[in-house]
Amino acid sequence: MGNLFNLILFEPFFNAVIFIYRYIGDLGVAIIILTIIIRAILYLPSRSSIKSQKSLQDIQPKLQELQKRYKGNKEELGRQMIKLYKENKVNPLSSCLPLLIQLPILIALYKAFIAVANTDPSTHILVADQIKHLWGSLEITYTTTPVNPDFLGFLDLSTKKNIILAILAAGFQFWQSKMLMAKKPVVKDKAARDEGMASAMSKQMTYIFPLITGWIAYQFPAGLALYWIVTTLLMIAQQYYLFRKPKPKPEEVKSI
Amino acid sequence: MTFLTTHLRVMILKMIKFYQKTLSFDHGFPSSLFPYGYCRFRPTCSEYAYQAVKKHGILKGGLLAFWRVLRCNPFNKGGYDPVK
Repeated sequence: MGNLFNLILFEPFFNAVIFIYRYIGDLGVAIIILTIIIRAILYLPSRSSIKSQKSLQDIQPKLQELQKRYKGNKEELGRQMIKLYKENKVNPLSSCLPLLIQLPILIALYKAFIAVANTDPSTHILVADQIKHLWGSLEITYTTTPVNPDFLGFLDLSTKKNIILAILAAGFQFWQSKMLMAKKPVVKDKAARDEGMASAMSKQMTYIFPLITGWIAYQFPAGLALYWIVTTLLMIAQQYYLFRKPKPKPEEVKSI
Repeated sequence: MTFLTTHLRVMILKMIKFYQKTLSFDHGFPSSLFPYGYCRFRPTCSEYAYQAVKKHGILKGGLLAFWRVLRCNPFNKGGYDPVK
């Protein structure tokens, strides 16, 4: 099981970083390039999920009206909500399977960024355990060639407990979730106790998520923190771009 | 033997509950990111797994839950789908 995971998930990522590094010569830049490639691949699926969140906000007033009208009748409310979603071509629900598939991919990616930063402190040659995961000429080259772990010549990506990168990672994460929170529909205090609790939890999440990010970034080699910072920045840019687009004109909404 | 399987079943049920309280996009902290819920079924996949294991045991319940997760994909309409 572990071997299969290494073969199909971990090794492709690991070899990709080293491969890019061989041509670029800067480990930090190699990590950034691979991160950009991965975000580009994920752009379409994540765009559709951000878009559906946005269109949910757009029909929010109608939804609240329905909730008011069918207050005592949960079943009818559910039916009307599904009708509203269908009319506006909104799918409010995701599904479990894609999420479960994503998880091992993410773990493999983290493993690759940690592995690439895991070098012998004195010689800067990759640890033997990691070299055996390299393919073909990469394995031959990096059995003897050291990997320079410096980013831009001064930031050692192989060291742990880099407080500056950890704070940056946490900060950007905070910015990113804050952005999502601000875009979320405001829950009125009239609403059910359930929703009140959800909104209290969402407030906590805005702070807890970045703290966890910062702590993990601090515990692992700085290369992982760099990946985190870059991927969060790209997500922020994507959200900014998608949310900024003009809303559909009111006439269009009426005609449906 | 029965003692052991009962014990195991309780442990698995507790693990599902733990998952729901922590990582779950429908029940845990991250649920706030998805105000309209995440899973396309009701009960959600994890709740379904909990009920299935409780009702049918680890083997049959586990298989039912596995089959449910496979069905929970973008090509399925979802909806109300309780443990039978």
